[in-house]
Amino acid sequence: MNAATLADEALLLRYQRGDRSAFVTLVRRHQVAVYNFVLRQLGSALAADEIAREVFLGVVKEAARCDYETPVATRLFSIACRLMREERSRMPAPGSLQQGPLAAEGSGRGAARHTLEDSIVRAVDELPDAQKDVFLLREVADLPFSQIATVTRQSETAVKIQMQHALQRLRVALQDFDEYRRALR
Amino acid sequence: MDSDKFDRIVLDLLYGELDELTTAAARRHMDQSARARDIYAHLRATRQLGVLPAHPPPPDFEAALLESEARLLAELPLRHRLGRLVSMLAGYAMRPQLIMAALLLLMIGSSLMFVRARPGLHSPVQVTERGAPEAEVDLVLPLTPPAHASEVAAAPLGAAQPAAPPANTQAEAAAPPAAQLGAAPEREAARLVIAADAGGGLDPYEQAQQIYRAGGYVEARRLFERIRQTGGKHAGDAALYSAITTRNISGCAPALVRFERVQLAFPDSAAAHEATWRSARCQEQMGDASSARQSYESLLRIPSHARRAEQALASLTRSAPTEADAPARADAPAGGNAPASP
Repeated sequence: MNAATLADEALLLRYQRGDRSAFVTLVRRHQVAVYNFVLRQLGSALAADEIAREVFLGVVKEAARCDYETPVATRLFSIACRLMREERSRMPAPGSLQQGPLAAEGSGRGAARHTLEDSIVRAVDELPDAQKDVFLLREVADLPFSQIATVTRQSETAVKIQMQHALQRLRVALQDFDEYRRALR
Repeated sequence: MDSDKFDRIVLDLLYGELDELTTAAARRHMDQSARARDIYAHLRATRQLGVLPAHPPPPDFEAALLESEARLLAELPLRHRLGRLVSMLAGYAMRPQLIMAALLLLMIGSSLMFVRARPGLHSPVQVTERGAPEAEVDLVLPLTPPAHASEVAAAPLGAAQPAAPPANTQAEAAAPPAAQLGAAPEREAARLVIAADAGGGLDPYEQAQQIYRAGGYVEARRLFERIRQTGGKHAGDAALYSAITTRNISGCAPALVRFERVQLAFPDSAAAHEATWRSARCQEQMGDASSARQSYESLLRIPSHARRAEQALASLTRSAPTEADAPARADAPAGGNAPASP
């Protein structure tokens, strides 16, 4: 069977049995989500690269004793959240991504789009940590609310309340783009 | 659905985490409630607006990660490495193909236990079956018991031998093969036994002969033994037939003693010579070729048995070089490989 079509848990099992290609498939499947989650949290591409690698290496360390009831994505983002908490405690306030990968784009309509993106990024940056975690896990990592509850160690209801608050804050922060929003309704 | 419930599930609706029924109920509620419709529309618009751009990881991210992973595996403590090894081996052991192969090997191994080497090729163990096969009753019975007591009186046993018809025919007349003994002969034997017990007016020896011919060996032996112990003109023949019925019932080994007793109790009689012949046949079948040869040689000087003894000796001599085959012949059905009767 093609490894690309296997479920995450089957790939992890294969990796436990010594199949390194299964690990490569897992990395390729989740690296964008993990990297972007960390990037949005830390605001530094360099730190995100390092932490994202640490996240995958955390799975390698736990591979020998892992159970198969917890989805691999939940496991990955649990490690990511733990590392993030440790990193936040060492770092000053997160910097804006305006100097990051989004900074050097063109002008005109593209520039207008960049203005919206910058506003979104800034609005997300300004979310409280708990709301930001939930928002990014939902929007970037695409985890369902039940798994977010596992990752953040809260109840599912608490997670949904955090998410609603985050969306309300974003709505307020993006008031300048009401035209866009109305068009999207 | 009420507004409270809608507020609780609106996020699930937004992210498509509701089942079909609840989704339909929520949509019906939105059709009826402008407030619900407005909440959902705002959330959806904010979500669509607030899409964060995804950035690809650095180009060397995967290579650097795999390098770190290889380094980490090399530095893993022994406990973790053992865990991985056990997991790997267990994974292979649980594969159905491996289980099927193990089962197949087990089946082949167990079936090998039932496969025998072909007889006469490699078998280091040879088994001699002691006893008389059922077809043994086909052997020569030159002592044709007279049908009537008067004939017995007129023609002594030994004197009747030279004029005897071919041996096999006599044997069939005297002792029907066991294979032919079905339910009917058994019933006939039982009837004869009842008649014998009741007296019936017949000579006891003749009655015993009839029972013997009907296949009632046990009862016939009892009667022959009684006649032997009583004594009289049929004592020797009765002793001989007692030995023959013993051989038919219990095989050669117990019969040999009785044949020897006939030889000792009635020396130089026709019954003794016949007993010598019978015991030689038994000895030959039991694989005791030297004793059989001695018995046959002792019969060479007896005119009634000389020719058969010569033939038996010749047959014994022919089979001597392949003596190892003798037990195999003894194992084989007597009707097929039994030595030809003179």
